[in-house]
Amino acid sequence: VTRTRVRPPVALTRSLAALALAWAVSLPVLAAEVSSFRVVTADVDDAVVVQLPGRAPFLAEAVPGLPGFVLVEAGPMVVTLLLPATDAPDDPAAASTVLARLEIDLEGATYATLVVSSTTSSGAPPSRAPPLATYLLVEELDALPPGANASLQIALAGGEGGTVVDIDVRRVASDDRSPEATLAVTLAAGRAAPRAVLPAGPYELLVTTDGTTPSISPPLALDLRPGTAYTVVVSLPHDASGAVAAVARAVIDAVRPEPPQLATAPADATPHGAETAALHVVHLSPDAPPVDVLVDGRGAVRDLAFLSRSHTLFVPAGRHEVRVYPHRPPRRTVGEGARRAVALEPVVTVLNLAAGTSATVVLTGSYEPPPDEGGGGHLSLQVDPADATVTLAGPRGYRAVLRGDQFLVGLEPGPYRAEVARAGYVGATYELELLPQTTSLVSITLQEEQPDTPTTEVEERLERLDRPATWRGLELQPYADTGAPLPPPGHALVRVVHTAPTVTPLDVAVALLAAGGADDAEPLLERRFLAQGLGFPNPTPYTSVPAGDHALELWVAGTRTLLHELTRLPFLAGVTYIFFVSADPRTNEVWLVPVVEAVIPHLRGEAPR
Amino acid sequence: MPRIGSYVRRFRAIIVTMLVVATVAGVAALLEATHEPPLPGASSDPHLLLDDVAAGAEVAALLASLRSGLATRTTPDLAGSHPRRLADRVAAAAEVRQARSPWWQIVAQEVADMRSRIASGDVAALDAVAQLEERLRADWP
Repeated sequence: VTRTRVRPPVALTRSLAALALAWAVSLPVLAAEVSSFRVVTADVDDAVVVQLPGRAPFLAEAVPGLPGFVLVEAGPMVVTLLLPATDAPDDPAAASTVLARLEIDLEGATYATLVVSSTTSSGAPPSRAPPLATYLLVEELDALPPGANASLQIALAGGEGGTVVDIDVRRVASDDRSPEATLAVTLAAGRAAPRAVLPAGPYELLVTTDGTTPSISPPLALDLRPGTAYTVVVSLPHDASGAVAAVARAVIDAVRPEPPQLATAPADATPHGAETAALHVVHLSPDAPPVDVLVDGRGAVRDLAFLSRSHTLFVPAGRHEVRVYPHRPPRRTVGEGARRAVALEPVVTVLNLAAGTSATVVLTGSYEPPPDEGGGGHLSLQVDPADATVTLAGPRGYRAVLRGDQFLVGLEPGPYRAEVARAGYVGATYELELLPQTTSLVSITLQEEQPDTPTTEVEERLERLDRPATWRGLELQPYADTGAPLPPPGHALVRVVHTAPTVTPLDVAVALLAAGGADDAEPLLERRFLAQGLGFPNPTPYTSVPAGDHALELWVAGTRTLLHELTRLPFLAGVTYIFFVSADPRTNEVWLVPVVEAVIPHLRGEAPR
Repeated sequence: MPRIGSYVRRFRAIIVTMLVVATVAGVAALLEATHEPPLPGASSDPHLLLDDVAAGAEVAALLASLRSGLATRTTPDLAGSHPRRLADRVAAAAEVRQARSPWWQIVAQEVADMRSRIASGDVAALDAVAQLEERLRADWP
């Protein structure tokens, strides 16, 4: 898509931007009276231009399947639908042929969809002003489908009064089995079925008007993506002969976006079905290397770097073990310059996830790497009998007399000599070379003195193994949710998660400033607190914020000390944000790391700047 | 026994045939080279378009975090892990989408410049972040 953009004078642009921002920030005053509105065309061949009071006309759908919402004041409103000009089909402002003029009454804090369908089919003779049927569909749209599910709302837009149709949504099996009937609804014209939650996957939709014959041939194919909400509009236009044929199309209402590495998500990340939970892993340990994540012993995420969020992992509901390893284990010099990987104990947590829930697991804390090269070695001495005396001599005059099993750490590498003695047993001597960063395991079993066996037999066993280093200081913090909530019209949702163990408890606020900016000179309209005294490892609740540029502030809890703030932070209408608190490991300076968790599509340019 | 002239004619026919084939292949190759293939991730896919919107929102928030973090430091630690990794995330968002539209291509180029400035400790990195923010605000995806 090539976009040609004419740059207006800078001053004019800034003036318009200021006006737009002022309008955006005035939304708090109108919050209770704001509604989101869009137009969906069901079976109208031509594009439709929408004209609302006080705003420039726009195309109902710039992209098929993705009609964007616009923000309007609740209450009665006249909506004018026009045909685009034939000589300028992409210019809504050039439209002049009126298709319909409707008066609608919108409730506040709702998402409203005006469904426009034709009463003639595409096979009918072309008309510049086909007769239309309209239907206003209103819902709150407050959450995305949980886990590996999609949600589906089906509406019957057109048809004669009293028309009733049966609609079947069938899951298409991956094998040759016949599709299974998953969802069946009976709808009258101008009615919608309650939103249903279905496992993501391929489906087909069939409409029957006489109880036996599918009216859509072939059936409408639906590819329902996880974490996505859809509306399917069915209409029943007449064809040229006067017969009724069903038409159906799907549009997206909201979605949970995936991070960029979605394209390389492993195959086992595909949904398993309805009884699933969704899981994300976020790496927020500044000094830890990139990590691999295993869920129940199976590789799930590879090479997750600091500040990154994994793709969505779908797991069956129930108990799961999450293990985190460094992506590239540190290597240390062993012996004559040979290098080998140092085994690290994983950071582990166990989650119990209910069906339909989602959870975020955050790797936080400071990485404590294995000792540097040239450090000491470790010696594990096991002796039998257990009360035998061990005399250990080593480099630099090291000498120790010990009794029983010993685990000695940080010894100077070099040659050692262990003498083991016990009354009634044949003494033994063992020499070993203690290596740096290595644990040597020596097991010596003395033989009892026997009168008839003057030659003493000594069983000796030597094992060398790496003593696993640890990631002491690192931890996995789970945050479970029932799903990604969606903001009310004209708002964004924001949540802050305190994931920095070295940072003091915080008061978290969004400063709503006049003109949407965060300059010091701008008056503060309101300071909306998300949480007070928020300590590690807790999250704030999701809090609604009017769309616009605001400041996200972190205060030292209970004080007037501003620890950190994000100025001129654009909160977009219809977007759900999470901000993770992170800290520099050396200076303890705070950073905020954003993630977009959910999006409701708005018309291009509708987002306040 | 065939005359020499017939061999010449056959040889000439073979040469002409080879020339015709080479010409056709060359024209085809030229057409293929000059034809701009459609951008992958067709923008008519509503899922991808909404993904662009989400990425734009996240990039805007990342840049605000980067700008605020750098601006409030008395001695900006440009080479610290947070600035670098925040810039990496912005770059990743742009790079994986740059095939979708010229807009993301431009952003990816500017992000690369911003990231290199941050990595090299250039104090002009803050300006680069601010410029990128302005581009986002001026032409939202």
